[in-house]
Amino acid sequence: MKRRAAGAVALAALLAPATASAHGIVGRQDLPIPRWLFVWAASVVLVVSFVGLSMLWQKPLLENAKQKIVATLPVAVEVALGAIGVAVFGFVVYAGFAGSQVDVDNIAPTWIYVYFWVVIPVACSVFGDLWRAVSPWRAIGRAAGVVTKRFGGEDIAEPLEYPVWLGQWPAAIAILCFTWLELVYPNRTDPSILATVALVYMVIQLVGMTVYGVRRWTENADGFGVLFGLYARISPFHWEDRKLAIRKPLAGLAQIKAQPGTVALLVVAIGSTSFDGGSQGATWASVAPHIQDFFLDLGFNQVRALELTFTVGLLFMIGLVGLVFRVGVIGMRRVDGKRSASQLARLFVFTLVPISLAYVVAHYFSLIAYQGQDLWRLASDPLGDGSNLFGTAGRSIDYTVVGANGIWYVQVFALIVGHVAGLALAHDRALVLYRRAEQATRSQYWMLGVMVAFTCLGLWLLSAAAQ
Amino acid sequence: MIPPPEAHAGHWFAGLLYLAPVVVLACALWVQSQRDKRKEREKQESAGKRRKN
Repeated sequence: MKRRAAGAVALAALLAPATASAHGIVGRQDLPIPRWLFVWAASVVLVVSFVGLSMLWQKPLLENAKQKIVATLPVAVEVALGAIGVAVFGFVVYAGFAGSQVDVDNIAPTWIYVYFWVVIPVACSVFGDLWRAVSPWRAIGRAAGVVTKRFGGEDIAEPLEYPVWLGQWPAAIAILCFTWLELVYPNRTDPSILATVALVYMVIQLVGMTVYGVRRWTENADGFGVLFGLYARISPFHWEDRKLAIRKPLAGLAQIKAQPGTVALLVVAIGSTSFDGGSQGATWASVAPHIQDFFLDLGFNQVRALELTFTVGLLFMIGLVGLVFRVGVIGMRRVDGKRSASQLARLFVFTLVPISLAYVVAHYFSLIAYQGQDLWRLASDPLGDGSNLFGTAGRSIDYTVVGANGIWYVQVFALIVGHVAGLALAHDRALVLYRRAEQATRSQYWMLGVMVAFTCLGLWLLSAAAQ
Repeated sequence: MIPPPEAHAGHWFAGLLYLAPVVVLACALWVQSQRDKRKEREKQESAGKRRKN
């Protein structure tokens, strides 16, 4: 039995694709102090920030922050951006089917896992909701809407009312499915499978938009649209109906009206990123074979047992993140008891957005720094057929661009900034909800606990993966 | 052969160093919340006495 499990571990190593595991290649760290001391130092920074916020931030600053419109884009730019999004999507799907089926030779896996899944959300958090402008399904949906209105006459039925109870649950499920594909499915970097998944997702989006309308569907049920839109609210830039407005950074988050499923969406985003880091560590390596053994004993073959083991790990980590947040919310409820835990969870869920982004930056920084460079080579030879369109097909990844220490410092910095931002958001909301500043501070003891717990978890996972 | 989880005690122990700030903070916050509650009680009691007088 043990031999079978060992075989499964070896199989996992064989199946692990170069693209997905590239962010594990960080070289050897040579840090001046032990890694666990960074965790202590980060916790101290959070406690000091908490004290500073309660002493210096006495009135809500983000809740009703104003924004100023500074520019309006012509319709042609909006159409052009949508067309670019559709063209890139079409090309990646074409490359997935027609190109080489060796993952590192095909542009589709790198584009989807590095640029679409990591670079775009980070760019949205800096420049505002760029994804909304280039989203291929949104562009097609809107174009179809315009054409139908112009040529369809008055017989076209109005979209159905989007069910309130459904909220953002479809978005949470979409992100869970995508992260399962990324972290669990053995053929996660198979170009033709990725192309098929992309097409299936596109069809689901188009059907949803047809039934419920483009706006209501993309704001609730398009997993990537909703998640990237949440990250975009961190940015001082706000794009709405071709108008560009400027506001305080983070102010967009304070205006979120949480729907059913918003908490689940962010918990899935943080939990899946945590599992990605945790699954590369020694603790998971020591536990996973025992879970595999359990599934092998139930009669599953090695590949299925491996999938189920990683599924258990993914769901466990998502559950753990949800539990930590829930404990914080239940603790807050004890301060005045006027609101239920679910109400408080929705009122404070936006504090998870900067944490989720911090986890993305921290866990995938090395992926962007190293694997991101591979786009130059793949742009010249996207199908892996030996072409050299831009003369860069011979480019290789420069692993000296940033060292292991540099990556660690960026990771620590990102996690600290993300959690301090979360604390600031929670403090601002508490000042609105609780009549006395003293009560607001007391309610936030629990949020401080949540933030320190997430920081320690994040740094523990990163240090385990770096060992 | 796959060693049992207890054979990796070193990993688990090192993990505790990362968990320690959470435990320390939880204890400190619990003590602080007890103090706050006591203060609040005392305030209410003294307000009640003043009203009686």
